Parts: sequence; structure tokens; C-alpha cells
Amino acid sequence: MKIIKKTLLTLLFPALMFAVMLAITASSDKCYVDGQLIFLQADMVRQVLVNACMTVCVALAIWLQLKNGRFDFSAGANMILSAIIAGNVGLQTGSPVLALLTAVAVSVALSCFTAAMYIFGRVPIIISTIGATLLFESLTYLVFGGAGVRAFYSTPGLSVFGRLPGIFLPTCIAVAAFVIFVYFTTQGRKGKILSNNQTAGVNIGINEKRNIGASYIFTGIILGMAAVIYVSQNTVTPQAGLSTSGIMFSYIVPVFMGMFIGLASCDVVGIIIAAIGMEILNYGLNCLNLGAGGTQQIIMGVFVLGFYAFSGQLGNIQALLARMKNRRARA
Amino acid sequence: MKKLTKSLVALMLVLAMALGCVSAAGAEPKHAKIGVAFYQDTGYAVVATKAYLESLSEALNVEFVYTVLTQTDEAANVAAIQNLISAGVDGIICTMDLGTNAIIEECEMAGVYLAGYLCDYDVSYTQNFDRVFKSEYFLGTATDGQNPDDTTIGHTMLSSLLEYNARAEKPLTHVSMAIFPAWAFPSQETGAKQFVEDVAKYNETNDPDILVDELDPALDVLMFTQMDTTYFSKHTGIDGIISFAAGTSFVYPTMVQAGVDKDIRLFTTGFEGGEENNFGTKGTQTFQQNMVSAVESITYPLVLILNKVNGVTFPDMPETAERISTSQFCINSDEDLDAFMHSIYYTGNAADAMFTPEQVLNMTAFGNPDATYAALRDLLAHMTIEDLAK
Repeated sequence: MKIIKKTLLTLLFPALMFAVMLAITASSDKCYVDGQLIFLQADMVRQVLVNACMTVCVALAIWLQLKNGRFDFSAGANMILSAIIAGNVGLQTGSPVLALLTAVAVSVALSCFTAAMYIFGRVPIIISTIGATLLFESLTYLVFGGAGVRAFYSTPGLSVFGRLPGIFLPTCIAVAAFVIFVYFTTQGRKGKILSNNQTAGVNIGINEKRNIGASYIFTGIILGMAAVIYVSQNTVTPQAGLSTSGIMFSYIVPVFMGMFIGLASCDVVGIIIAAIGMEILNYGLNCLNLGAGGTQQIIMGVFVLGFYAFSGQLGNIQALLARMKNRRARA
Repeated sequence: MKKLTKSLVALMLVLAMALGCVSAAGAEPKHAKIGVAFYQDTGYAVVATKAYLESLSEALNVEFVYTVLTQTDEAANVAAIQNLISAGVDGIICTMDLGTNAIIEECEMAGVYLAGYLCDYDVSYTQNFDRVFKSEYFLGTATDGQNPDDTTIGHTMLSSLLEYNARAEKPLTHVSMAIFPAWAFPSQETGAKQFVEDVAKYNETNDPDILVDELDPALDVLMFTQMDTTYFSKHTGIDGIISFAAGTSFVYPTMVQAGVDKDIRLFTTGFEGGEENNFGTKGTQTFQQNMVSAVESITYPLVLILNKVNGVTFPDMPETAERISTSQFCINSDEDLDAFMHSIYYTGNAADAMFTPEQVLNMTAFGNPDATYAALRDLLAHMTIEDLAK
């Protein structure tokens, strides 16, 4: 019974999102083509799944560090640099698998570098990760002549990990890496203590350096998966001026939503469900021709703000409801 | 005696001027430093343009410095130009008409000449003509394709479509369009209307009819972001897209993501690399036409600036600066693509350029006293795929 309740609560967000967007799109003439509501076409499922997979990978990478008390600004730059190297390796060898393995290897190496900067540099995480971001971004102009990757995603034989059903492989590996680290390793469990109270954690004997090293290795694996999906869907060009942070932040909303939705189950499920829900919202807005530009930003901003406000006040709302229930019982 | 002295002095002055003119025409060009402000810092066009310019460096005695402008931040563009002026440039070749009023003011104060490349300067042309085009320091621009008042791209697109239909087993009979907003690229909207009119005329006398989906401002006007993912649900049944906007970056990724790249043919402006794998009869055959301007069109603003730096001018130089439409490489077939892949645009090798440094020197008023503006201007009309094949 409890499992059913948890499952229903978890699925409530995307179900509500679907119902609301269905109602809105169904009432708009813009969403009908030849008398058919485009929101209900098979394309919606494909787009939502494809976009959600990418979002899940980046969101998990962000959340893994956040969960351990650190915000890593270099995740976007790491992903872009790995994508460029992996894409070029894939183009030269003609092998998507080799591209995937390269993406993971490069991303893990870059993550380890960021971790080393933080550990040995003894500088705050924000400074060390912004420093790493600038360095990685600079490298995007140096590797492979600064040309980025242009033809990888357009070669069907190479971009299998950016299309259905191949996209599920890197996504599943990313989810597995997250679950293994967080739930099945000692370092993952110790990370929770460190994020709650770093000093107390260190005082009771937790080796923070080891935790940082382990968490960054797993973050690297997840970012490698994100990189291979990204290069399989996009032209990747060199980046500068912390623009990679913008790419990273575009995937951050499901992280915070996932924390709340995950209360009914666990954070990883919450993030996946939040990503699907947000992609349903995005698809609905696209149907309404509001998929880009200022209006979309306002709608998304208001929605996210409302969601956070609601989740932040949930305790108070629950207490209010309980008081009302008690009063009614007494009456 | 006094009169004789005056006459002698006047004669000497005339002789000195004449000698100066003769020596200027045949002498070593003055050293010049020219800033080139691109619209992006990577890509085929940028790499090829740099290679072409550097190859001219020695013959024209010019050095180049580069910067990048933005499409949205006027202040950033002005700052980029100020930096070039601080670096001591004599002239600037600019690819963006954003912040031009302030830029021309900076140039006038510093005595630096400004000219355009791959840009129609339409905002300045239509709204600030006197301030910009009549400025002593603005020398003119070579447009990326046609000017808005000289548009032929709609005709070209239909011509490419019909050429494809003539050779294809399954001709295209239902197409949609994509353009950038008219405030940035007015010629694209004009081109789209032209295409619709041309198709209507074609349908009057030919079978089967070609159906063109009406231009939907909310869906088909790409605000410099990738095409909407619902595009193909809304344009159901299309078998071709006529993208006046740069389709490789803004249309094709969505086609791939939606899994329609094998079923829908794309006719588009721009070439950014990778198209060759899926062009014509190759790969998914998505690309059936690409249109790009030759990087050699930068010769026009370059020569105009160098003439000024060297203190000479063409005998037929117009008083007011002009914006000149450029012919484009219209790649319609595997053969066209093959020719294009041997051009500097694709190879990035200056040896593949349409003009040698000596030829460019010969286009200048200081390198060739017989050089004319008309000849320089005429060059821009002869940068087609047919000219490449010659």
C-alpha cells in the first residue's frame, strides 16, 4: 500500500503537467493541424524522452556534487571539452562506442583535475571550479584546431547515443553510476554527513579528500555520458567567457524539483521524474509557439518560482491542513 | 621678376605633385594595419578568410588583427572596435551593423576607415544613411548575398528545387520555409515572398503542383535559436524545407533530433562543415542545396581601405559609399560540391583562393594606375560556383 502511495505521489508531477498542458493545448487553435491535436502525437513521447535523457545526465552530475556539499561550476566546461574530444575521436575512428569510452575517460580525467585543484590548491570550491571552467574553455579553442565538432551528430551511424533507443544506454549508465556511488559506497554515504556538517564529519574521522576524489570520479563518468549524448545531438563549438556554465544551468531546474519530488521516493527517481515533467511542459509550450524567447522564460520562471515556493512552504501547508482537520473534528 | 618667380614656384609645385602621383602609383605600398571584426571566432568562413588575408599580407604590405562582434550587444561591439583603434589600426573591416553610429563616430575621431564584409548594413542604410554612408570614413560594404532591395534568393531557391525535382525519383511537392527575423535579415523575408510568388507562377503551367506552407511568424521565423521541435508536427507532410536562414545550425539539428533527416530535403544558405557527408547522393541526402558567399568578397572592402591608407583613389570612385550585392556559390549537385570542396572556403588553403596576391595588388589604385572601382565592384558579381569551376 505504501509503495503504491509513493509511486502515485511520484508520478503526480508529470501526470499533472501532462493534464494541464493537454487542457491548455486542447483549447488553442495553434495546436491543431488537420484537426488533430499535435500535443497528443507520438512525436511528443519521442521528444520528451530524448530531451529528458540529456537533462537527467547533467542534472545527476550537478546533484552528485551538490549532495556532497559542493557546487561544481566546471561541469559544463568538462562536458563540452569531453564532447569535442570524443566527437573527433568518433569521427576519426567511425566508432560511437570508442567516442563514448573517450568521453568517459576524458571527463573522468578532467573531473580528477578539478578535484586535485580543490584538494591541493586549498581554495574555496567556487574559485577552484570557476578556475577549472576557464581552463577547460580555453582548451576547447586549442584541441583539434579550435574547430569543435560539426559532423558527428549528423552521421546516423555515429550519433546512435543521441537518438532513440541508443540514448537509453548512456542515460542508464549515468543513473547506475549515481546510484552505485550514493547508495552502495561508503564514500557516498559519508558524503551525506559532510554536506550536512563538514567540520563535524571531518572530526568524526571522515577523510574528506577521499570523498572528494571518489565523488569526482563518479561525476566524471556521469558527465562523460552527458557529453556523448550532447555531441550526438548538437554541433559543439569552442566556448568562452563561462558560457559553458550557461549550458550547465539550463539543466539545473530538475535538480531542485527532483529534491522535492524525490521525497516520496528517492532523489534519483525525483530527478528523472522532474526532467520528464519539465520536458512535457516544454513540449506543450512549443505546441503553443511559446517554446523560445521572453514569454517562455517568463512562464518557466513563474512556474519554477511557484513550485519552489510551494515546496518550501509545504510543511506550513501541511500543519495548516492538520489544524483545520482537528477543528472540524472538534466541531 | 616677381611674376616670373611666382610662375616658377607654381610650376615646381605642379611638377612635384605630378611626380608624387606617379611615384605613389608605382611605389611600395605603405604599411597598413587592418582590423577585421568577425561575427564568430570559429568556422569555415572565418578560417578561410583569415588564410586569404594572411596570404595577401606581404604583397600589400598589410598586417591584420582580428576580433569578434556580437549580434545582440551594441556596447560590446563598440568596445571591440575601440580596442582595434587602440591597437593602431588604419582601417576596420566589420561584419555587423550593430552600434554603427557610435562606431563611425569612434572611427572619425581616430581617423580610421571602416568598411563592411558579409553585411548589408541595412539598419544604417535605411535609418542612418547620411550619418554612416555619407561619412568620409565609411567606404562601403560587400553584402552576404543580395541586398534587401536587390533580392533574388527566392528565384534561386525555386531554381534549385526544380533542378532537384528534375533529377529526383520522387520530386518534392510540399515544402515549408524558415527565415531569420526581418529586423536582422530583411532580404530573407523578401526572398520567402518571392519564392511563394514564383511557385504560384510555376504551378499555373506545370504539374504536379508544389505546395508551399504559409510562413508562420511564430514558428518559421527563427529567433537565432534552433528550430522548434514541434515544427514537423505543425508542417505535416512536407518533403522539403527552404531555409533562407542558416539551416545547418538552426534547422538541421532539429531534423536529426526528430528523425526526419532521411525523409525531408533541405535547401539552405550557409555551409558550416559536415554537410558534405549528407549532400546530394551521399549519406542521408538531406542537403540538396547550400548557398554561401565567397570569402574572397572581402577583397572589396580591403582594397577600398588600402587605397585610402595609401592616399590614392579610383578615378571612378563614387562620392557616397555603396553596399554591393555579392554573387554566391550555389551548390546544387555532387559536381558543384566537388568544385566547392576545392575552394579556399572549404580547404582553408590560400593557394585555392580565386585571386593571387598579385591580382589583388593589381586591383588597387596604388598597385595599378589603370585600376577602376567598376572593375572591383564587378568582381563581386563573379564569385559563383561556375566561376570556381573555371
